[in-house]
Amino acid sequence: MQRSGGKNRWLWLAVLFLFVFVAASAFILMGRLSSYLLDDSGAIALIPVQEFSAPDALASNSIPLQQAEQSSLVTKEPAAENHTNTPAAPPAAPGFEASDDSKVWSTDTQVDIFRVSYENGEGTITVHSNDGDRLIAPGTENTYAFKLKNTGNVSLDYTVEVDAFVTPDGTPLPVTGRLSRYDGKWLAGAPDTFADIPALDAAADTGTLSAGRYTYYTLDWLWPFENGNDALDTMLGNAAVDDDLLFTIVIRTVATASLDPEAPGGIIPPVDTGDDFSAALWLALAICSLFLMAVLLVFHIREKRRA
Amino acid sequence: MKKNTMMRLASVLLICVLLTTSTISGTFAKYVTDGSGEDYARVAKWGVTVTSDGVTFDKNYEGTDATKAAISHDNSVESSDEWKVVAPGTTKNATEFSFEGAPEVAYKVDFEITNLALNENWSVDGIEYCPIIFTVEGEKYYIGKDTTITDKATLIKAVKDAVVAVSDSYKPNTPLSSVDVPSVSWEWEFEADTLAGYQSDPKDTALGNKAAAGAAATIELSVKCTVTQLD
Repeated sequence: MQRSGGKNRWLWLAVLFLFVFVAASAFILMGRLSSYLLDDSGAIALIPVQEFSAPDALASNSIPLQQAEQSSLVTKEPAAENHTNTPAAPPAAPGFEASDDSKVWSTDTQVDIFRVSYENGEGTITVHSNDGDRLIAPGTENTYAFKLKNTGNVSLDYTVEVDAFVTPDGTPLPVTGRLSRYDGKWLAGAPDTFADIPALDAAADTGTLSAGRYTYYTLDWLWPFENGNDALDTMLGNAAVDDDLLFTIVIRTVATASLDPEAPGGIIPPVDTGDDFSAALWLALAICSLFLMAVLLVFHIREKRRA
Repeated sequence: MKKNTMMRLASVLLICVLLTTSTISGTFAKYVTDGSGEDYARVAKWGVTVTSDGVTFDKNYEGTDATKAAISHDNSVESSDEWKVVAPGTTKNATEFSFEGAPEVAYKVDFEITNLALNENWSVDGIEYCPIIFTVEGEKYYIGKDTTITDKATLIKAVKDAVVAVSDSYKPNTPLSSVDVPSVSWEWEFEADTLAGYQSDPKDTALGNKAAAGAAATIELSVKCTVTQLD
């Protein structure tokens, strides 16, 4: 009996913890979602303020003409004051997010600029790592896109910089690259030109993002298959047998709140007709925990009756 | 009493969590920082080695067992000077290659006859005569094989084309040790088996006499192997 009672207690506790976690998560999510609520500070009041004119007032009251000249029924005008209801501005809540198609960046996030395997135009694998390392070789290339988004409610000033380097230092790697912004601004290279590694290493950009807006960049790199120096390519490939010749690209982003919290900039994201908050999941968890609590309660009552 | 204590404890915990999450949500809302994405790759391995002894002809050729027994000497053909020689009954493989490496890229192995030359002394009584048979991957090529090979020039072209045709491509990480090296060889038959009706002892003897007189027929044969990355 005691054993059963003790077990039920632990179960009760576990259920309560589960319910608490659900509630805590809901609170956290609601806290984050609040920044996306529409700003209604410029809304027009539904009931307009009305002013009464003297002739209208006189018409509604029977006063002798003689007296009407000396007195007038005039509804006092409302004080000249602002009657529009301006809600207090929400507190500044800056937020910034750098991401690509598959993940949100934190610090030194591993992203997919290079690959383990490459195919040619016919779908034939032409380069493939024998140990899972990401590779570069003559004829390999790739494109990588990343997005910077203002997730807060004030404008942000951002900086994006590229570090591109070869290890060991001084290795004459004939890889080229270019970096462009969504609006056609080229930070390295050009539409028909790839830049060398030092030029890619110097690529940088700054900008401003309004609340809720974003910008994106596209990084391309290429090791030309025919670059007129087969001897160099072969030398590098042979050297790679015994030593790792590495090409590294790091993309750094920094964002700070703008001096002007309403500074313009960035792309307006498409309007979501529905958010992606998975209410069903959390509701299901809440229902499950409540159901479990009810079952345990019934079980507990039965045990008491038997006792 | 125990039950009340548990409920009270759970209630206190609930309040604490609610207070904590309120604080946390405010902290998240103020989060502004930097982010970085990075990636690196290494150069794909190549490391291909092709070696060949480069010997297509010899100065000495070993005789048959019967010949060895008859002359009490291993060689039935021996050059008397620095020249390598060919003679009736001599043969040799022209593609003694060895490979090493397993590139991480797709590659192609090409074989090519870079030089195949038969000088003007391959003639008897002013009529062209060349009894050399070339074999590429088991297929024999010789003058008179068919209507397409009628003289030295067409024989040379046919042999070159046949060697180029044995080139092959391989997937990344295929060890070159598994590459099939095509067999390319030459032969001057001792008895006119393949070249019956074309080759004869008097004609072979005539070529030997010309060589002794300083007008030797010569043959040059070089086979090259190239391993190339595929795009």
